[in-house]
Amino acid sequence: MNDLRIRVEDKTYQNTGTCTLKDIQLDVNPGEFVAIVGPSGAGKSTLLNMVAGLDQDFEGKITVDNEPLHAISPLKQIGFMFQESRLMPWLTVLDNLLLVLGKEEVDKARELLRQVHLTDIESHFPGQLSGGMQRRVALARAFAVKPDLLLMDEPFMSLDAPTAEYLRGLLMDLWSDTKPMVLFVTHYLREALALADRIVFLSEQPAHIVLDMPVNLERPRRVEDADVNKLHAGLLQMNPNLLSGLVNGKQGSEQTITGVAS
Amino acid sequence: MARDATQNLPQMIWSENWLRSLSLLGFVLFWQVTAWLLSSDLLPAPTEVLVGLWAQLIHGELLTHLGITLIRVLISFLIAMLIGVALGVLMGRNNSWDAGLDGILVIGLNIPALVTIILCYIWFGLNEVAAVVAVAINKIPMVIVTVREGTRALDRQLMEVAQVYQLSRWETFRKVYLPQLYPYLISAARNGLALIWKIVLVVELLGRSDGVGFQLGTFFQLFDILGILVYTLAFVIVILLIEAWVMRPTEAYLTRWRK
Repeated sequence: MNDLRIRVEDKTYQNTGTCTLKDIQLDVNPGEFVAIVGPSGAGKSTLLNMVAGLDQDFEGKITVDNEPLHAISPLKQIGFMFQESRLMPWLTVLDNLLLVLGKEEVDKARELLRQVHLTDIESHFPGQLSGGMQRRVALARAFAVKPDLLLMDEPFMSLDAPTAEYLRGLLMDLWSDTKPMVLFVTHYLREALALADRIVFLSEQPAHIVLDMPVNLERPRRVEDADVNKLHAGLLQMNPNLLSGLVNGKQGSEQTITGVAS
Repeated sequence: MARDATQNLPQMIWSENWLRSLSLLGFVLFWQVTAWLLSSDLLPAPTEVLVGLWAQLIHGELLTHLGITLIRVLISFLIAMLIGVALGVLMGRNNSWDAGLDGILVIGLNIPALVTIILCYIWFGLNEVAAVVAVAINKIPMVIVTVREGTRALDRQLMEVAQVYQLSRWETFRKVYLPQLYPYLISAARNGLALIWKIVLVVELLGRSDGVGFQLGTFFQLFDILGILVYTLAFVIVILLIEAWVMRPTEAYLTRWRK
């Protein structure tokens, strides 16, 4: 699967009339990990749902190699990790993976569980697991379909810091194996800096892209690394209101902060 | 946390069973003492009823009639569940169907069982079809209401998972949709069975020449109280067995993930 092009002219919710997204142009290169950062309520989740095909009520198009993403046959595999683990509570951990893999793929499912270090709980139900373990299963499920495109909607938000860090490590391991394109939504800038090749900053509603910035730090990185700290501080110094969706100078223009990023 | 609950569970069930038996035993004891004090034909003692039941099992027609009644219960139960679930899902999912059928549903819920039974016999004749239809009609509205409730409570987030991961319609129905309805289906089945037992007997009393209801009618005319109690006891035993061997294990299996 080659470059993904997201073109959203307008996304307005019919029932409330609020315009959520306006003039979004985002191209993702093969194998690229893109983080989307913006204030809460900016429409980041809406954008992911639109890419996933869950929300098709908008003006614009989402294409892969100039063909509409959701009309290509065979359909592209998309992995989606939600804010909640969203496992089927009545299926065991193994069955949750087999649900998306197909029931013959037991070996593959076990291999995935091994990769997220969950070998001995395959016959547990999700309700018997901690939040962190549920996320690991959800992460395994997202990679189970061999995704061409992986969508992640603040997947580690409600976890404690060490657990989240552990899961980010697992994510990086799995991602570097197959290198799918990733759209990773978060409002936690350090997390974006620790994970992504590129960060796209959104404004408040109606959301548009205020800054599109590459992150050229060595991997592996952690949220508390000195490099991440430095970049984090530099960014916020240049744009104190960045996380509220404002950049200095002309709003909406694309800046490159190569000076800080390198 | 989950492990503690599973360990305590057998113990809990055991003590619950004990309480259940204790209250039943108390009831039988009370009955025995009252019968002994009154020593009247109007209230045979439990021991007499047991002897009567034994005699019926060996020589009498009890098993035949009981079997016929059970078959009627089973058939009308299946018909009612099938139609009720189909309409319940339809009305829960689709607002126009819901609006269109809601009025009829309210009538169905409130019409007395006796009226449907009499009308069915008058319109379809005193036959087996009329009997089963009459029972099913009494039950269907309740199933619809319960299943509609369940369909409205479906978790949209899990349906989105099914959509994103491109599950087939069949897989989505079986693994995502149906499990969310299980609690409602179980509840509909339970309440439904309880209702059907009662209505089947009335249907048999009014227009059939076999089955437990018919026999009870005959005993009533003969003032054979022992006969009535023997049949009742047999009937109650069957209900308890179905509850213990079919309903509760099914429920435990389907909701095992909640433990």
